[in-house]
Amino acid sequence: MAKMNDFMLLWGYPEEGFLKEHASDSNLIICEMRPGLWGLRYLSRKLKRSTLVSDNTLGFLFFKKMIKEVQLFYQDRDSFGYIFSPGSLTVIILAKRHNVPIRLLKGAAPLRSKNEDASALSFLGKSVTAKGVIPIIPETEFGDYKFLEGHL
Amino acid sequence: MKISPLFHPVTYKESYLEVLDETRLPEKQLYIKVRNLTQALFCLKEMKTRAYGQVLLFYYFLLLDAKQNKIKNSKQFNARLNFLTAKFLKARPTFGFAQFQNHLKYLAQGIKKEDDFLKGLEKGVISYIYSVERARLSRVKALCKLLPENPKIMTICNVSGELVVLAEELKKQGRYVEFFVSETRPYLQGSRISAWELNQAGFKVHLFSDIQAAVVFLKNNISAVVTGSDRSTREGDIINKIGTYSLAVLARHFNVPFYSFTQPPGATRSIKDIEIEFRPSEELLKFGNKLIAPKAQKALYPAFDITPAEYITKLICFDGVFSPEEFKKKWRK
Repeated sequence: MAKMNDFMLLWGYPEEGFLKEHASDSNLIICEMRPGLWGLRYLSRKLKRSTLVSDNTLGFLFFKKMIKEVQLFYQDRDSFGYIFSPGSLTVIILAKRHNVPIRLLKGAAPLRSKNEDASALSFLGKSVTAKGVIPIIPETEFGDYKFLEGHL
Repeated sequence: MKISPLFHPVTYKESYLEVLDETRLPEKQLYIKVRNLTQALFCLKEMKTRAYGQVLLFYYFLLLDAKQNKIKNSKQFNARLNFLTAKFLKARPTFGFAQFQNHLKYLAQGIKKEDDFLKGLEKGVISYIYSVERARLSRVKALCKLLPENPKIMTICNVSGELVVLAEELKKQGRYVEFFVSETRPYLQGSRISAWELNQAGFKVHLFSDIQAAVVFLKNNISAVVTGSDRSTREGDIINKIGTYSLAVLARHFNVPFYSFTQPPGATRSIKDIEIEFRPSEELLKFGNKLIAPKAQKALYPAFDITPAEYITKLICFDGVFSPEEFKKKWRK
């Protein structure tokens, strides 16, 4: 494992080239990426020396100054800003609050599995809450240039 | 008024304890019988009970153990208390068992020599738990006063049944409440317990993956974040389930008040006095008993995080509502 204050946090869907280049890096933090668990199911197989955390651990890692940089993979960009994968807004706000630089990289199209959980109602296909609870379905997120200014 | 089974998850049955197995919810509402230390520590280590359940388990188990060992006086009791507190602390190092140890010492010392020690201890423990539960009900009423007419409340993990009490109280006042619950990986207490208990009680509950929190704030006009806390410090910080700090930072970003139900800090001066428990990485890498990541995958699982006072709007205590600054002044004395 890398030094405790030397981690690079990845969020989003990296391209194949990035994954090959960093396959043996030991200072990468990858997240589960709920609800689809893309990080746990896919990134963990490509980045074999990485360290996995649950998504709700990020605040703790920033607070403890364990993250030195965020590598954030966007899906697209237009004249107003970037289109990100679900969860990116939380990552950006936490990084900004802790003055951790964010490096934006062009990401890959998300790989979808037909068995993937669509919301927090299930975990690996198993229902984890009561019937009648309303799910909030993840959507792509938008970050305008102004919001990201000064942190890239 | 509907009361969640999480409000009193451990029951004292004189010759044994009954512990609600929170890991089996929502499929089954099962109770584990605890008759000895091994069973009590199993409940702690395996997360069968947590939060307020740990308080009840500690007090009731100390009472049960005193009866089983026919303890006759406070000297004998204190020896067992020291031994058992160390065992409980080893099982869950972040929780404030040392604080309860001091309180039980004080309780035991107060039993008059001419009285039956065990009867005195039983009376003391049961009346203390009763007073805590009355105080829990009254602090919920205090929080109602801080919330807008029809609040949208975001929460994480589980507040040991107090959110059901809050919702019932608001309903009684003719107010409408909606909850937005963060699922709380890896044990999913948000999904399995909070969303379940609020839904069972008939309230509207939205559930989201932990990382979606920023978007949930952005799109849903959240009125307040309400959490529990496993501990507090004399500086007004709280220690709670992992993910709480992220919600506090986001609440600050979106200008939403952050309220936490908390308890006295005891001797805990600052966050430097807190040891954050790192649970085994298998708890993240397995679901049920099945490995869900590559065998060699490294993982980190801190079970708690610290939310510094600067992110907290009000601390909702047994004896009133305090800003972190007021809380700090109160405990400085």
